[in-house]
Amino acid sequence: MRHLVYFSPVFYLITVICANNLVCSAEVGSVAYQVNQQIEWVQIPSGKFLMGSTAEEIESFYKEAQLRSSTLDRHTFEAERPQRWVVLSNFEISKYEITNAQYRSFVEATHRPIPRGRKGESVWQDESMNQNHQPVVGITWYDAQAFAEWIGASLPSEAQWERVARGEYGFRYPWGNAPPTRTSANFARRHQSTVTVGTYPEGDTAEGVSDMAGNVWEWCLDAYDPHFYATSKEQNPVNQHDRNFLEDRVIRGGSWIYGRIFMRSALRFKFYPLSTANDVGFRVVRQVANER
Amino acid sequence: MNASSGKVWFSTAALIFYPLICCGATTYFRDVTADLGIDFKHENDFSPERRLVETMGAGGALLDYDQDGDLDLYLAQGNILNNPRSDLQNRLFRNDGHRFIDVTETAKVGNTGYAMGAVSADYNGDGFPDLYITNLGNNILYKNNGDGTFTDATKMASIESHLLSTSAAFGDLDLDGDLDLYVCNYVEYELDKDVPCYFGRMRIYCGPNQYHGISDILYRNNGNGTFTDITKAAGIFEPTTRGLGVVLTDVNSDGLPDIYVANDMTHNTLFINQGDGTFKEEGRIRGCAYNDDGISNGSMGVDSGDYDNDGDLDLWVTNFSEEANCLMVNNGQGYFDDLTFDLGLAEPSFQPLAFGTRFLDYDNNGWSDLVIGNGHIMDNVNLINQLMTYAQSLQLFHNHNGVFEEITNGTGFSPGGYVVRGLMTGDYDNDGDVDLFLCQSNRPLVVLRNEIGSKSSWLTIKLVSGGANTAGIGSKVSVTTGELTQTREVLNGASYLSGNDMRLSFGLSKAEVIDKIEIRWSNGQFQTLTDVASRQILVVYQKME
Repeated sequence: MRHLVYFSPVFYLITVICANNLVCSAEVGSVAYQVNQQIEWVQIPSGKFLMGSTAEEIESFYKEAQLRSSTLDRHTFEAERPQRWVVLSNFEISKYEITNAQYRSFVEATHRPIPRGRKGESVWQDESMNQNHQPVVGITWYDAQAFAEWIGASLPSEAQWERVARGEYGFRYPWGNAPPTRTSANFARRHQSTVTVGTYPEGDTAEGVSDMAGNVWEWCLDAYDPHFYATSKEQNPVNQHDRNFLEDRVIRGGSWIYGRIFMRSALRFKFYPLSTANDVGFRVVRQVANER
Repeated sequence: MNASSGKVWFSTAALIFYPLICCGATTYFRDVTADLGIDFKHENDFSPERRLVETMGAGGALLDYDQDGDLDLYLAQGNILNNPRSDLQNRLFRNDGHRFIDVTETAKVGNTGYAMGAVSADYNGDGFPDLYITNLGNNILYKNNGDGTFTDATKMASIESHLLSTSAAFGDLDLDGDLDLYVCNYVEYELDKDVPCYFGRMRIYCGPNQYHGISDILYRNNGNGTFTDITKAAGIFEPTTRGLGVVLTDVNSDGLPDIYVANDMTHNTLFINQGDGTFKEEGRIRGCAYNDDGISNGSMGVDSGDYDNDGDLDLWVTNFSEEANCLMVNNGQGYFDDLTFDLGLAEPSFQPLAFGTRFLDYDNNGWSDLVIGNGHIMDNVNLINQLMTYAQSLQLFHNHNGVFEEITNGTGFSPGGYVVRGLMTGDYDNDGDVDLFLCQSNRPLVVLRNEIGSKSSWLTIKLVSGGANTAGIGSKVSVTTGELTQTREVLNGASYLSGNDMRLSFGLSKAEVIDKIEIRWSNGQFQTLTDVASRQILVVYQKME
């Protein structure tokens, strides 16, 4: 029965309300509060940044994808257009992807279902995936957002995610413009699983955020709309209009399975919000302390 | 005309005529097959049924079987699959200094199996290189008798194998002084049970995924003329891979030869030598199992070489059409990054279907270039994709201080292309540069003589070991001239279905004296030579301690 509750329309409604930051925060002294305090947060100052890619860049990315025998079609890249200025308020983002240990606290406190694979199997039975400091995988978008709200945070908007990954100067990758290597990210199946978060300090952003490329895809708050960049507002854009709870959500950053072209920080990808995978996880954002 | 206008004229003329002045108006390579008297045409028994094995071969080996100081040539031949012909046999050509003379009958090496590849090494340590031939069916070990003849020693050596074998390589993998043998096996295959595949209603060759992969085999040399299959005991057993190319090379510079295998549509395997006769497969964690897209390519040919002159050995793999080839750069500890796209090798290699390949310094400027033999497997590929052809260009990539540029045009390669499978490199005329031997599928062998390399300074080193591994296979040699140190390893096998010249060829550009030569022999012993003259074939004998 408990399982049904989590997949009921009531649950989705609650989640959607929380996702709009209308309610939900962790009570001081609660387990959720403790988890929030354990998370290492990185401050991202307010400001303007160039989001998306130019037509020339997209042409070049698409050509490279073809040379890499990728099945990615042109529309995937076109969704990065038009490149435009976006203004974000300051916020904090978790330095690392949310870990199994952190998510375990959430499951124990809320009786939320444990992470599961595509066929419903328990991901935590898999020793290659269940270590405390590996990122949690096998969670739906709703699981991820529920965790975020439990600790008084949120999933990052797509704009927040891209700003953090590309930095102030719009780098191609979190660490700069150099291509990914074995020392910058967990990608292309070199490891046959996720790895402990923060394993690749060389791949950190200039502001010190880890694993923004590879390891796991990261759920973002936004519903996926390939044309969103053309219509979105300049200030703190997030695509939550006419939200359908079955609408694809944005995922970003590539994973341990995926190759180099998926590591690029401006690449937009989508995933069905009720699906789970062993390479999709998340990180969280919160408003800065003095604004909470 | 005043003096300054004269300078202008001179400068302009120099620019116009530079190619002629610089290179003597020659192309880089010249087809000398007919001049050398080699009349060999491969027979694949092409059939409307389009059976898998028709697409695969063949190759051959360069060896100095009569120890007269120049390279002879052994060529693997296919046959008529259901009705083998006695005149379709592997052939041995003796290099008499000017021409290659067919000595197959005299030498008794005319096996009539449906051959794939060949390698040559002195497995019994008697100083004469032997031959190992991979076949569809029974592989053959020919022992060199030292008198111009060979004996089929397959049974005597307990090395019989009846699988579909492809590339092979000898190396002292257990460091006991003699040469062990690694044999790639492709798929479970029975001719009369081949799978039919179609494009629409058109019969085409099937892809590898229609066939089950099988494990390669590692034979330990027992030191008494026999071998033992130690595949499982040594940790080599991989029951689903489809091995096509192999190179035995010390990727982590620990003095122990490792094994890197190019597999078709399964992950490439890197077996790291543990030093106790066993290996651990570490291709994934070391970054050379997949390309940097995490994809298992249709890998065919393979080589290792120090393309960036940093002292470690990098890995190079050729792949199927619509897959870039793959250059994996060594970090010095045997961990790799795929930098194919960053070094200029991806886009030009995307369309061709690549097989045999080698690192070689074709112009002897001190940097290892790359040659790639291409040719589609489908004779009718243009009916499926009009952009593709059966015969394809041989490709040459010039290495500019670690970045590659394709210079195929003007090299002297046939504009009509080739259907290359095996590709051998070696200096058959001992003039100091590396020549090319192209083994085509169902077409004649082509020999391309290097016309420009010897214009630069060079050094060729032939190692003679004091032990049973007489050619010093697995030894590593570093040659220093001024600021530049080049490193080469004595390799057996490599490329695809081929055995190459095991002498080490170093381009020295303008340097006429080599400051230092450092040799790490395969048994771990070191030897150093200083102030060595260039433009010679230097034979270095190991001083046994």
